[in-house]
Amino acid sequence: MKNETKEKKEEDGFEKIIKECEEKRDEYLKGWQRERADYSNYKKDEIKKIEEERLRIKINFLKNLLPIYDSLNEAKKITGNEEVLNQLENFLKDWGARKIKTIGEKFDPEIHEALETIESDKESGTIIEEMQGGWKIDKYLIRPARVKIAK
Amino acid sequence: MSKILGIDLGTTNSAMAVVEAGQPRIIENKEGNRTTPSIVAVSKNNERLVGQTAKRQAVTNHQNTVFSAKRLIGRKFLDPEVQRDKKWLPYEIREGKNGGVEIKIMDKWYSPQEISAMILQKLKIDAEDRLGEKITEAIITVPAYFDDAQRQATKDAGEIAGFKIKRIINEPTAAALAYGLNKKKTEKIVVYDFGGGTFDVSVLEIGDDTIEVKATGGDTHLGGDDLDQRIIEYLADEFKKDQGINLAKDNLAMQRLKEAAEKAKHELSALLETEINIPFITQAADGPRHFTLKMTRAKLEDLTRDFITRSIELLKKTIEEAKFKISEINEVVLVGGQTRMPLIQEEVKKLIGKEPHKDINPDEVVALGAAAQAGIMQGDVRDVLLLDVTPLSLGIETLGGVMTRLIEKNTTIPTAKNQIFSTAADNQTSVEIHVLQGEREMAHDNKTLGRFILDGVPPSPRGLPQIEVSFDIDANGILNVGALDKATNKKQSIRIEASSGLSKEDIEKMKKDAEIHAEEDKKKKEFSEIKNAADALIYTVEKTLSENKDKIKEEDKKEIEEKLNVAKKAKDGTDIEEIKKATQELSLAVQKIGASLYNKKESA
Repeated sequence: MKNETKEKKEEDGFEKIIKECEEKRDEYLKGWQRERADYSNYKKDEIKKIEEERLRIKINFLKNLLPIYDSLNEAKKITGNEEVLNQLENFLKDWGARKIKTIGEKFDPEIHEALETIESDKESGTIIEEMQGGWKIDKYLIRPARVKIAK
Repeated sequence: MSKILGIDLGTTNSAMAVVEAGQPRIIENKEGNRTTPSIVAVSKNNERLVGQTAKRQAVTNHQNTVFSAKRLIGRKFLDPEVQRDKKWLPYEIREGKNGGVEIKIMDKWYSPQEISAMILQKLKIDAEDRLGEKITEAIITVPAYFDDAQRQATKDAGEIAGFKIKRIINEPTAAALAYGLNKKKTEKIVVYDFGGGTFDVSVLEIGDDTIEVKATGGDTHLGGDDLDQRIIEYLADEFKKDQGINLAKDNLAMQRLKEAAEKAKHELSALLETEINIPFITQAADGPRHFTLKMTRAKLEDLTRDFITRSIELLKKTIEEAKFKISEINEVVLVGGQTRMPLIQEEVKKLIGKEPHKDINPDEVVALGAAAQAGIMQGDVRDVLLLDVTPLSLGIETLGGVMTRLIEKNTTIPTAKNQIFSTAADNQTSVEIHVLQGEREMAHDNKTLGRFILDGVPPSPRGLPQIEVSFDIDANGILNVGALDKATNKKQSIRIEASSGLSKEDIEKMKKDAEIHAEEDKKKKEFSEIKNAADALIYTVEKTLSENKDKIKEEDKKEIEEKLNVAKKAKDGTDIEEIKKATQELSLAVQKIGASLYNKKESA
């Protein structure tokens, strides 16, 4: 009788240990799965971030190039030489840059920057004059167009 | 657990950050910018605009464009500060209920907290969009001098925006947190915050688990914008002197001048001189005019020195008010974009006598600190599973006594890396794997962790055998290094228990040594590499000569042998240029026979 109780106790003890081990195993497995999932998500995030970074570099590059375009545009007005300007315009197009529409459009602060308001017979908020061209790439803004709008 | 957003709600710009994987990170807004102008507007067709878009229409709609709402939040209308600001703010304000301030936009009156809420709401939406999850909780920072009413109003703004505000913390405290200074004991810290429109000095003392504000000072109307204005005025004056044209009336020209001034200011933080170049800035009667001007850092400092001097005086005064001696200050933290200016960094250092903390982007440090506070409150879940890093690089010795790293320092463990190596001599039948730890370029300057020999490599020409060396560090930092001959599958390995048995001081010393010797180590390594290249060429040439004995013309052979001897002699010497020269000549000589051998084959 005594022996049996002892055995029973030992068995209980083992069961307890096994149960603990199982719990630990589950905990570790869960932790491991979570880590793997975190890692896989992290990788996906990184890919997204790299793509965003690429776009940002592209936008920045084009943004820094635009003042040169502006100058060539001004120079053309004097010399009448269009070749270089056209070359650069094609380059910008190849890179996906598109000019933002201005004159006659309704002012939109998402893509336009107002520098002046002037008296006009046009409806208030209509763009009357473009002072500096604006550019977009897909839905992303490179530089807003600087404009004069009707009062 | 959902994330808590850390928000730096600034007077001119705001920024936000969250903790991800234990690290605070700035969240960009919808437009892709890391900071958002603290500007709110309602357009003529009743559209609410916040941030950059509000800024873009400000000129045409200035009565309905509200900026600097932070200057009004939680203040009484009769507060002297409010009365002072009322004079220059372009929008209309009046006394509201309870004596507070109300702001008019399109015939409607708003409290400053409602305006701030619009900014916070934009940040919330943009953050949710970026992170792809709902954000409901936030920590917002305020200047250390904000009183209870201003703090409460800021909290209200957060709640109007739909946040549950976990805490309002001081901006200087957030900056100190971003640098981890809260972990230090009983330190006295000065935070010098030169923002766009305000200048704040805070003196903090770190106690047990608390950061106490001992004194605050500064000037609510001194900032980077003042410096910009000074530069613009200078540029416009120079143009007028030079060309006799006043640009002030030309809006586009002034805008371009402003951009050029900001750009020059930024560039002069890194360079001693910059060129400002604005072609076709304006049209004169006789044709277009261009703006070009060289500006030096010294000129910039001359133009703005009075602002900097004033800020340093205020810094001194605030430390005195905290009843501390300057010598008692342990740390200085720089906040605000303007602190990138070298003159500011020098002057602060000169006064305090300590190198200021400036490594974290000063425009972002407060938001990052707010997120760090959120991280502390949430308790990082990952703390349960502590991941260690290897403090120093691990690698093996390769040809010429160079250390080739397999695992770079700061790699998170457990980790494993392997790389294929080969033999350095013909018929070499054993390779010694010399396991090293450290950052120096040459093997003997690093610590030897162990060595072993893999033998039984079948005799073959050098470079042919493939020996795969593998490094594996387990979670306990125990390093296993193995070498496997791919041809015979013979293996040998070593287990190194004490790969991280170095004390913190040892590790720091080894890292420092590497920095000190970086230049000379690089030279040594380069020397070794050039010597290795010479050795390889000599080997190839000798082999070609012996294999093609009959096909080479006698005079060619003689020339090559001569060059070969010169190269061999040079290789054993110490003159790097001589080795380079000898190798190049040998290479040219051998190319000749290479071509003639090829020709023979063709004709055969």
